[in-house]
Amino acid sequence: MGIVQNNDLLMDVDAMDFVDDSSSEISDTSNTPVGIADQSFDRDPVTGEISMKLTSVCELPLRKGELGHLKFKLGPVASSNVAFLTMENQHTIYPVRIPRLDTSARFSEYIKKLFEIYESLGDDRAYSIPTIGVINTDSQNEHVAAVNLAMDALVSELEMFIDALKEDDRYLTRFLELEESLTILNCLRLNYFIIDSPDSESIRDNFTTSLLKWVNRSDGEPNSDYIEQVFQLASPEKQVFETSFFWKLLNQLLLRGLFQQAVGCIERSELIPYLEKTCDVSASAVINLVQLVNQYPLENADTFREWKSLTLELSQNFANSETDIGTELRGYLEDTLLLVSGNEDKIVRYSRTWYESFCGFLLYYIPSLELAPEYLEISLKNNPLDITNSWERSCADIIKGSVYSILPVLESLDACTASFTAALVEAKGLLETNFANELEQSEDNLFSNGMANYMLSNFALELCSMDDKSLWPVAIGIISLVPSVSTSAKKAAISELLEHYPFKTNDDIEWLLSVCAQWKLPEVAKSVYTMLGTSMINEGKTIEAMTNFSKAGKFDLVKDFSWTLFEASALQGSPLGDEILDSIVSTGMLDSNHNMVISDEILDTLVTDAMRQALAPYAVLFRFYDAQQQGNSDLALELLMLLITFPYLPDCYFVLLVCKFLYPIFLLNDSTVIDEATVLTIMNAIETKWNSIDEKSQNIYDEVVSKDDKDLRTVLPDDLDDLLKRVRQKLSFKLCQEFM
Amino acid sequence: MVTITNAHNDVIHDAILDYYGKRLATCSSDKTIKIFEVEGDSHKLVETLIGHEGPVWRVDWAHPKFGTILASCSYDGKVIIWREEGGKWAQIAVHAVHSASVNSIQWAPHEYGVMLLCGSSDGKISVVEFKENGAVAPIVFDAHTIGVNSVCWAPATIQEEAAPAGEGNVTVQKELRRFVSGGADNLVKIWKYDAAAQTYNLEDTLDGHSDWVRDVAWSPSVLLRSYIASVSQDKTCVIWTQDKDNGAWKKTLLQEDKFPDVLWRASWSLSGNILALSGGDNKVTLWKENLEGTWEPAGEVEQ
Repeated sequence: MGIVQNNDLLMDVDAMDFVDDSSSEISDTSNTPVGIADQSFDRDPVTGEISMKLTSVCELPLRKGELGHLKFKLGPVASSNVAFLTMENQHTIYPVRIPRLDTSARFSEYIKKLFEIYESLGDDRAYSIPTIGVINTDSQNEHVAAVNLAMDALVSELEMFIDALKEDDRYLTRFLELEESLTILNCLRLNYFIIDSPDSESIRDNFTTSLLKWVNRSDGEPNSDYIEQVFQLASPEKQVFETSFFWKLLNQLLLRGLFQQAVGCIERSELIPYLEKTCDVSASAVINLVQLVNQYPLENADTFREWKSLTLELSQNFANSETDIGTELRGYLEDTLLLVSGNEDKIVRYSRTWYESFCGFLLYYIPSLELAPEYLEISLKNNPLDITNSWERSCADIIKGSVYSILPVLESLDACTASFTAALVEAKGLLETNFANELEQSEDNLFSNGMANYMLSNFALELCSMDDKSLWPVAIGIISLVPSVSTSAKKAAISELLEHYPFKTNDDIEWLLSVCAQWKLPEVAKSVYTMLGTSMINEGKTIEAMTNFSKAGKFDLVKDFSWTLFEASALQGSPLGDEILDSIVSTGMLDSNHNMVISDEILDTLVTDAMRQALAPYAVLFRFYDAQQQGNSDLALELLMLLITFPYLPDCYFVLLVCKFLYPIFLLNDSTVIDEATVLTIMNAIETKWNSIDEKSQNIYDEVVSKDDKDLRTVLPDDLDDLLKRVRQKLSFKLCQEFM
Repeated sequence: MVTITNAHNDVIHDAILDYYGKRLATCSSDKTIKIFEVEGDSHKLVETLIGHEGPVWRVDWAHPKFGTILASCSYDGKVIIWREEGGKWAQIAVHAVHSASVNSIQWAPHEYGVMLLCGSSDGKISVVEFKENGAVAPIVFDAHTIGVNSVCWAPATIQEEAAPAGEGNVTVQKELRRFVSGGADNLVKIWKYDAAAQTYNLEDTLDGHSDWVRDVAWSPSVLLRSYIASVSQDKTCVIWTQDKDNGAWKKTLLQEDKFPDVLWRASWSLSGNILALSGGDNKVTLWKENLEGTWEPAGEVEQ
């Protein structure tokens, strides 16, 4: 067999999603990508805390270590906070983003994908304790299959998210943390989300593939440089397979299940051609080894038994055979054969890490998770945990059965992955949770009843401060879906959050109100309508503001604004010219093509009953103008009388109607006849409503007099008392006129 | 948002973003308040409010349902309420019941209406309600001898109480209106509204600091339990927690060791799960309660 090209011998490092150490420089802050703020932070050398510079070094207001009055307040949006120094000559405001906050579109998509997985779990989000006779085997199997599938999907999404980041050096820190998360998840999936799958045919294949994926992706060893170094040891005096490094490398590849690479290594070393020339027995053993390694049974447990017996036979036969090779080389070969036949000593001896030997045991000894704690114990005895890798501790905990302890680690790496993992772990029944009936819950809050609830709820709240409206439905969705939390607690949380929703468009408002309707949160809806009303007022859209105030139940405000419109119209002596308002108060406005200016449909959505009622005085005033314009003074007076006698007419507007319309139009002209009853009604109204010393009435009167209306200025006296006298005089005259 | 250089001509005392993080109000010893509009990475100075006769210590935005309203407090003993309408800012009220510097202000949760809490160097606290009809109803009472440094409302909550004898219901729901104050007497005090007497009664005095309490912050979330953070001249931060609305307050030192310098400010994130502290060592430290209930660093921002 010829020498295979160099590249084929090596594991495909690129495909393993690793990044060269050489690219691990933290990028310049000027290159900090939009959406992620964690690239400019350092870690405290002692505590490991994340530390972020307030600004670029050249702009720092104080030298390192110098004391100053730094003040900071967290803003309502996590990406937008401010800090400043309360000191002389420090007049700068610094924007601050919370360290490690990822607001990128990619992360947002990832969050949504994980939520979809969680949402699609349906009832399987909750774990039901199997009870004989109550939950049948089928439904248990279905639950297991659904949760296992969800875990597969979660891992795939994380891989895709990492793939999207790996090309960009600026995301290195985030990339490495997500890789750690993935390693922990791969181990978790391997131990708890595969072997109980109802689809028994693919279990072994799935399990072995996952095992190899976990171990090999975790650290990417052996790396290509090391492999090259080993092969460079070859010299004219000593071939590479005569060095211990070669056999260590070969055994490492075998322990990690990197079968192709192991075979490639043997071929590249030219061991077989050498043995074929020197020792048939050894050559045959190596050829058989290569064949066996190539045929490692990934799929089938039964085939594994046959495969294992063949490796044992090969190993024993070789041990019992005479060979024509050196003792050292024979020893190496024997070790490798023993290793693949599952020999504990050799597996442990050739493992550089505990997880290599753990993998070796599961590949070559007995591939059963029941023995996993034992394998772990033996492995750790020989290769202790590297405590600088947080994933190693977590993976060991997972194998020991302590799933609970990995969640804080995952949370420190990525809250999103951690929260949804916690949810799946709980759905699988791997966490202790209070499954009491809603009514029996001791604590009625969102965070009670288990770690998964706590993490999911916390994450949901965090989403609301990420300044990304598209994540709000996810946040509300998470809170809605978390199992074993009472409806009232969910309602309280949603109610608290919704008020902070930064709505802008009609779609936003519709969504917000639909959530209010779904969760029966009238108070939140009212608050939203009030905010809308206030912003409409600021934009000068009085009618729309009134619609919102009336939906908010702020009837006093609706009334106040109605009277404001009434006042403005009366002061100018004509309709306000607002199409919407005029359409509301008229029976229908037609444009030049005889079409309705504003359709009834729109008016119906805009005008509430409270508005119709509150705008009634303006409607009468509007008809008064119309009657006047038509020259129908009887109708105009009749309408004016309706307003004057309106029991809820504020006193100041009584004065306004008298000075602006009644006195100049109907009383001043002696030829205008007013019937006795009307005169008496006016007199009666004056008795009850006229108040010359009322400040508001005086202000209104001053406003009328000061208006640039020459006709009125000439007929109206300077003060209200004078006007009252003149009105009385004219009314007496009208009464006499009628009597005469 | 990018750095705002030369925001003021004198020492800056406060900078606060509005409800949606879109407007920034700052105040300074130059006696002015500045309003910046923030959109993405850009900001624009839209107004400079002039009205105080001394350094302006603090500013606070009212809930948007009341419109664009800002309150400011100053060394001149006054609190001024500013309102923007149609792009124009105007003073709409001046609250001048204190005889010394007003050091801290905060608008109440919107459920209580347009209501402002003020703490002053005259040792008094005032709660002033601006009613819709324009009336102002201040409640003023003694709080901390020497002076009040900081005040902060509790989020609006409902408390269940036993129904009075003879009434059918076993419990009745009552609004629980509370706030916390921190003073120059080194104390943190919890105050509770008595609707019948229309005043605030001292509910608890929390003694945990050995020097001036510089800031107090009540967590805005009511979802788990009540959390108050108090920071002090004594270089410590205490987390006060109360499991039930009327239970005892538990004191937890955020970290056993003292911070390197005075702690000036404490604030909670919107969801109440992150606490930020800033102090004389020019660091902002972020803290999170872990799943076991202990507080751990979640990052820091170094000046």
